[in-house]
Amino acid sequence: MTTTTDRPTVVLPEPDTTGTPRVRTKKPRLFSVGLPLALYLLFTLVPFYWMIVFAFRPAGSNSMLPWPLTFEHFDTVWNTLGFSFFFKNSLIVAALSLVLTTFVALATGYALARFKFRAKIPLVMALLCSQFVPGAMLLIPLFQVFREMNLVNNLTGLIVADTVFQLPLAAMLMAGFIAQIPVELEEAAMVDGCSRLRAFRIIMLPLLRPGLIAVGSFAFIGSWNNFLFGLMFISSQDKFTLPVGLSYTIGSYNVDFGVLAAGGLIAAVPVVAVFAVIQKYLVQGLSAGAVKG
Amino acid sequence: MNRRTLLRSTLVGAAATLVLASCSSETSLPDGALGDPNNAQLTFWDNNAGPDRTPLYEELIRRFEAANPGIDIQYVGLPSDSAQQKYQTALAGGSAPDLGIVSTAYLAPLVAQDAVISLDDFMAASPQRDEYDAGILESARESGGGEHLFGLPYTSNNATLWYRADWFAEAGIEPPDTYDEFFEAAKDLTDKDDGRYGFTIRGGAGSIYPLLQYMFASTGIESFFEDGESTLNRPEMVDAIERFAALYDVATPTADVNNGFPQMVASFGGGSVAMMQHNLGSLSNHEKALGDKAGAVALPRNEDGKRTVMTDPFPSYTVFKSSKHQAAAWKFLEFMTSQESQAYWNERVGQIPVNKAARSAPEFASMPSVQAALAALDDPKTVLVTPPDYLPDFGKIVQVQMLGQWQKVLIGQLSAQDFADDFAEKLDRSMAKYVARQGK
Repeated sequence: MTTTTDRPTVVLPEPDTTGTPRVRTKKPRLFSVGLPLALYLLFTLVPFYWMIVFAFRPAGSNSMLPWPLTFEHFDTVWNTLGFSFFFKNSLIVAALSLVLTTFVALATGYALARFKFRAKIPLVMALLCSQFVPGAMLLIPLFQVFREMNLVNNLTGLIVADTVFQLPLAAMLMAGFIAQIPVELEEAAMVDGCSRLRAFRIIMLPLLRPGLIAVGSFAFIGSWNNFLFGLMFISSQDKFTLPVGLSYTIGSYNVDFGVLAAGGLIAAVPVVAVFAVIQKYLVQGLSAGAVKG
Repeated sequence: MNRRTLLRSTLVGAAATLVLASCSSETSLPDGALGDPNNAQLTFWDNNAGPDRTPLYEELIRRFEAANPGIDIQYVGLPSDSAQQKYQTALAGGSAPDLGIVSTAYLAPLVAQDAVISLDDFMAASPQRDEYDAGILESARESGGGEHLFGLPYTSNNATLWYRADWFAEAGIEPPDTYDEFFEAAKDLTDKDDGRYGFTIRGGAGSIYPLLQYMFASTGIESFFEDGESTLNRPEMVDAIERFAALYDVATPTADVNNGFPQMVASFGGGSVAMMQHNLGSLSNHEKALGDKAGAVALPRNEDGKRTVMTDPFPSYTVFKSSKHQAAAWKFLEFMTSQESQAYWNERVGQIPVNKAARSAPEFASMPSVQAALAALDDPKTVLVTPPDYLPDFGKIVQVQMLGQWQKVLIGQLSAQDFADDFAEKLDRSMAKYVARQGK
């Protein structure tokens, strides 16, 4: 029989009492982390690499690098194919659609999150179900409505269509963000003499910033990338948006990859830039509510 | 001013007006043509816009507007793969253009919807009526259902066998004139170790049209239907399909089973295949990639020495029924299909003008692809086969339903007989539906 004294002495590390987490100094896990990440990056970045190579190398070159560097494709798409005004149109449509979507989603989301009313469940169901309808099915009814309202071949029509299409998801997202801000904060402000609107403006809006950024950026990207509505509702070349302009570079017998890649880069740069700036808010906004505290 | 001077001035004025009027317009219009032929704002949709073709239309529009100051053309370029959807949505929404270019592959639905006008009366009154190629006009009539001309074609884009002239010269082989020579050349020019293949077979998007063109060209069968039944599963057709599919992975790259037009052009231009079948429209791709190393001949003859040419879907100008300016629209169409405009457009894209007078433009003489296609068209032994684009389901059958089946044939999962039977049955069913609808 052995006694406890026979056991080898084990020196346990001192418990960390400073309150700061210990930094783990393990070697990077090459196979479990590095390799999958490298594969994922390869999968994601190779198309971008090709886009850059095609956009910057001269036509007919087989170089694997964008060398000798040329800007001729950018010159063609921007000045000859009209991307300068496609870009401007896309910017106007996406920016106004962002503002409209965010504003209406904020109002709808607030109503859904804060008020109890009889039609609430049917309304939420309707918003959810509207997500099942593909955009192509909305085309003809929207076309007829827009024609009556003189909105066909008009950027305003496109802004309205994009907003309407994105609103259900945006409103549901916004309702989620608002619901996870304690209502007591607003109530406290109202007890202190604020009106509901003022309490919303000075208490809720700052707290909702990540949510607003998440919804707004989705609205911007959705509108920026929307090809179908741009193609269907606009019939003048000078009012086309970027996705329509891009498809215009692909003929049935001829695809100019250099021009297409240059146009693709022009279309991608603002989106990438927007995400680079807002990504910390976006992650914060999307993960808000994931852990209830 | 005495009476004589006044009379003389009036007569001179009237004569001058007549001369000016006849100069400004050489068009003769039928009675009842809608709208003022000299004053209109027209919306014109192009179904295949792009950096290579749009500038050509813009230049022609500029010329037309300079000659007809009262008419303003608003050009709208559409992406080729969404054009049909755009036409259909605009029609459903009541916003069709005045005129537009449509492919014969989707002209029939527009005719069935009563969306486009018959151009027969305009054509009968036109001073240019005898300048158009009768065979192509007839083909356009058939595509629209047979009786009337709903679309005015302006170019012909025949199936062509593109080949590497330098490889053929190295091997001491002449470009194939018969199908036996074609199959032999495909095998002789294959050197898998060197990454060279004799042919590229289209297995991906758009592969059924070229397959049908091959089937008719190699068998010499002259029509899609005989005695009301599809000819596609005749024993000769089944043999032809078997022989063609046997090239796959033997004299063609393995990846061909999924390849559409861009990949096929890339294989040919990139130097891995010796021959490819496509129409004249790919000329600019080959010129860019290969220069004068790319040669072109018409599709080979069949065993009887005949050349059977199944026409490609071709673009036509159509005038929409909703247009209030049909007379002015026709005037524009006449200008666009005049000798000068036809030569300008077609010599820049390397296709065949429908206006025969335009074919003598010197630039065509230096295009072997156009010369080969023209020689085939002018050969009295050549038989033209028009696909039944008028069938309501033809586009769907060819572009969607048979595509996966053909890929199965290529990889050996479906026999040529089953493929042909399935194809024929689908066409027979579509024809029965069409006949029933016509009978109503």
